[in-house]
Amino acid sequence: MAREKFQTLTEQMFYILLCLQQECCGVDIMERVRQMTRDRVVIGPGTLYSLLESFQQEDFIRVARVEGRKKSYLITPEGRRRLAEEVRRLRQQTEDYETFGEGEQA
Amino acid sequence: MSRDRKRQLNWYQINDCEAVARHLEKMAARGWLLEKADNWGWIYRRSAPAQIRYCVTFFPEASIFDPGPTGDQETYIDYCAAAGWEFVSSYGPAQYFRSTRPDPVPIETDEAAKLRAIHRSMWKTLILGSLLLLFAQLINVPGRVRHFRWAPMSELSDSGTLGLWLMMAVLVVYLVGNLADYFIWYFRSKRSVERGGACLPVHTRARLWAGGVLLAGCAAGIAGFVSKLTRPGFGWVLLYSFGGMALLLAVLFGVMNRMKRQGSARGDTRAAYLVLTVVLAVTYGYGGIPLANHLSETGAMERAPAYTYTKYGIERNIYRDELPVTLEDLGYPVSPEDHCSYEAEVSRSPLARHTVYSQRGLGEDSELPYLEYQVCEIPWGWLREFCCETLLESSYREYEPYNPSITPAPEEAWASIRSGGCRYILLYGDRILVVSSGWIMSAEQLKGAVQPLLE
Repeated sequence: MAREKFQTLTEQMFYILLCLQQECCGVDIMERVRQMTRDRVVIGPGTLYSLLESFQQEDFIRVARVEGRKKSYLITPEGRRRLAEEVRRLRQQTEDYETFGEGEQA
Repeated sequence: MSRDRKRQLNWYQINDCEAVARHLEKMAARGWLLEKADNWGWIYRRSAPAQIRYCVTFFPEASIFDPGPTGDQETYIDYCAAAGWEFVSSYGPAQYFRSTRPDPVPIETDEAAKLRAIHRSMWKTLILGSLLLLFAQLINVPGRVRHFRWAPMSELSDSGTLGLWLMMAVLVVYLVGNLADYFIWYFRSKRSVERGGACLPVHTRARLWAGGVLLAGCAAGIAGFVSKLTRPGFGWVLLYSFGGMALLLAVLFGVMNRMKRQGSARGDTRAAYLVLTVVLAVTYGYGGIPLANHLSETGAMERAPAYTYTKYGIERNIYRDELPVTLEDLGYPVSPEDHCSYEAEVSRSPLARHTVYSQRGLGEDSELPYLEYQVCEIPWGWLREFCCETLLESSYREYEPYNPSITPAPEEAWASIRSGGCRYILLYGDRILVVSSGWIMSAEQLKGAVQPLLE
């Protein structure tokens, strides 16, 4: 089944949005996501650039500050809404697993 | 190139980033570090052999007309630097990075984003470029077909023309194959990525083979042209065709690179490039006309005659070539005042051998009719048949099947008879004979004309 753009968030998308609840410059996002996930999720620089561009186009994030070539980003209300929606979806999946998955194993 | 620098052509498919990266790594291990990527390939500089990781990515917003990295591109380069990737060079959307870390974070960690970047970049490079080149080739086809239909025997026996056809055919097949290969790769990769997989590997080996075939086809085509160098004046034609094209490309890329070095804006360089392309192409196309006129006026493309004769103020070349059948043999007395020219022109190619014999009186008061006969030997039956059909269909004459009472009898024969003369097409084994004359030949004369041509 094809994954429509942003219909569901990939782990990398999820953590970039989560990270941008606080203002953060592009270069630092890679390191912060690594720390948040204890190296489980790694974002490549090319992917980061392209996802930040796409998030800006979708109005999920905005440029908060520009210092020379260094740009800092912050999540927008639309981005928060999308992130919360994703959390609800994941939570629903977990609940479904607990209800049906474990029960069947037992 | 100095001994410390080396240039290499890039034969890889543009989207074959993995193969290019592995190739650059091998070159670094041999002591050649990538210094610059340009429109032809790569320039290396000599260094100590090193284990270096390379990565080729695509930044679709970048253009070959940019004087240097744009602001957004610099941000992209900064992100890569933070992840341990040093920017080396770029040409258009293709970006070259290297890392001395043994296991750096990949630049692309999202296959869908990677595929989108590749596909957007391919539209600006491979797809657009291939379509334009394909259009430029196909637009020539109707003219070349018309030319073939007009004189099929001359075309088939002309190694230069065959070389041109070969180069066109190989290039068209290569471009179509390249585009098909890319789109198949793209749609399969898209399906794979949508199912959570990765972009598929590119057919590197097949692609390199295709490049080799293209090169061999072009070399064979050029060899066809070069084999005609023995013809008078053809060196000038060859020099203009290939030298002119090389000069045109050198001027075009020279101006573009100079504007980029001077920091001209992308739009200005692109506009200058497009205007210059049109101006140079038109100049190149029409530049051939004065050259052809000059060669014709000075007789540079004609071989040395036996003597020249001036008729109505125009100098005519009179030749004394050996002809198997002459007007004299067919009962027409020829005097020195007729200033009769006897001409035999032979052309051969791997497909056919074509000889045109002609005799005509060029004297001011000569009343001799013309006599012309062509012999074309084509070893392949299907090609001979095709050539014969083309002759019958596309000539300005209308032919009727003909049954001449001559021995040996032809396998097939056609005749076109008018008040001013006649023309016969006769098939004998692997030969096509075309006999034309300025009077209506009798069966006896036709027999006399044909028999020596079969020996």
